[in-house]
Amino acid sequence: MEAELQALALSLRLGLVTAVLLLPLGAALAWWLAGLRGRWRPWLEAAVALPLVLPPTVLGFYLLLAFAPEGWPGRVWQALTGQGLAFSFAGLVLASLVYSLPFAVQPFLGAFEGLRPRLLEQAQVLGVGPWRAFLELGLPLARRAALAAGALVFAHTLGEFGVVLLVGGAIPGETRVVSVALYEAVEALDLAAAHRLAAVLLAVSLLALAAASAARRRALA
Amino acid sequence: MSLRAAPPPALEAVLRLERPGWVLDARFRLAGPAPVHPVQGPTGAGKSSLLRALAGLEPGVRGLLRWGGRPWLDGAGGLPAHRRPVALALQEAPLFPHWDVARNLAYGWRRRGRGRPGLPTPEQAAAALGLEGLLGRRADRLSVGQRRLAHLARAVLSGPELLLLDEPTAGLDGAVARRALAWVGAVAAACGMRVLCALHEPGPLREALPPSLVGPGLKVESGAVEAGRARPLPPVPMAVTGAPVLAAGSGTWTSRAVSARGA
Repeated sequence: MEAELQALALSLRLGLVTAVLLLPLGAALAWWLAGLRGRWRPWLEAAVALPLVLPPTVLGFYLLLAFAPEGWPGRVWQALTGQGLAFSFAGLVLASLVYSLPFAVQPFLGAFEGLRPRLLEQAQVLGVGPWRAFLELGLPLARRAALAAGALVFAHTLGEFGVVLLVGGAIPGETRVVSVALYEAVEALDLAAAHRLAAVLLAVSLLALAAASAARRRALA
Repeated sequence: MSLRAAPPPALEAVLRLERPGWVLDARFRLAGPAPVHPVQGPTGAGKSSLLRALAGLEPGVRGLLRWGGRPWLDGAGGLPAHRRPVALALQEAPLFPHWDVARNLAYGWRRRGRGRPGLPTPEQAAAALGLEGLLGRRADRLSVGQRRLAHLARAVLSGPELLLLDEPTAGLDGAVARRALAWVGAVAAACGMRVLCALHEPGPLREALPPSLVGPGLKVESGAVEAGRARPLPPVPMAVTGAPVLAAGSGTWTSRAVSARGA
């Protein structure tokens, strides 16, 4: 039971940290994408959306290579902190940022697609540049999108399994999140624990998606 | 506002804007002490496109554009819209819908206009245009006429050197339109702004402003569009004419513009 609570706390922490880091990143990326024209846009949008369709193991495999001491992100991290990136909480956060990126970008992209040209034109002819317009005009109008993006990123990060297993392993308190704990409980035929963990994930995910949906609907009203 | 600033800088343009079906060619030089220049022409002749091109909003404009000798456009690359000391009152008169009128008016003023000698404050502008009672109202709750006045005030308050107005009085009744134009003329004279004002017909401008404030105008003309032909029509030429551009040693200028066109 204590191990289950530890896994749950770790999952919640991972979801929150990822959402907090990914929201500004997703908003800025969406603002930039919404202003792109020409032949590069489909490729960039595809790159951002890639984690949606890629098997998590593929992503996890590449991330594991990058996080290894031989990969340059791993090397940079090692030089900065003196610790390895693979099989650490920091590595898990970094992996989640990649894995959940489309869920942060899509709601903002939907909001900015229609708004950006109109807002930007008005800002520009008053002497205000595109990034200032993003901060002062775009972001305040995308509050609902931010709610939706936050809820989706949180829920999706909570539910990730393949990537976590590959780059994080199952170190208690460090990388053993709920989905991994559930997998181990089933392996060990501890069905009572598996039931509890599964129910918690189900409830939290349902709540987060309902919140995202409510945010979206109020955005339309 | 009897105050009168130094005459505003000259605007020199040799521009070409190509779109499927039509081409806009503009060659003019606007200078002199009178700050307000009417831009005339029938609907669809290209008045809006011209103003948007001057503001830097239209992609693909080529040629030369100089403000007081400083280039805004030279060939195909140009100064981005927000770096030009320009404000454009758009034909649709949009406001930031989630903000009240006061915040809309203050936006450009805080960013750029404040501190420009002779420029009114948002409160003074609202009083001059009869918007004082609406300062606390959300922009999306305004009538079309109120929105147009607020949009005009916001553009003026952003304190540009060149103010471009695209049908600023469309839909306003005569007295309100004249009062708004007279206010713009007085502000332009007081702080040395040059104003290009696109209107269907110059009547209201001439009625609202003393002759000393109205400078030479621009005429935007387009060829006739013929319908019902199977093969693609050649582009309809549009031309902006006004004071000749070949004044004050700008000969080299024109030849460079021609070479820029071939690019």
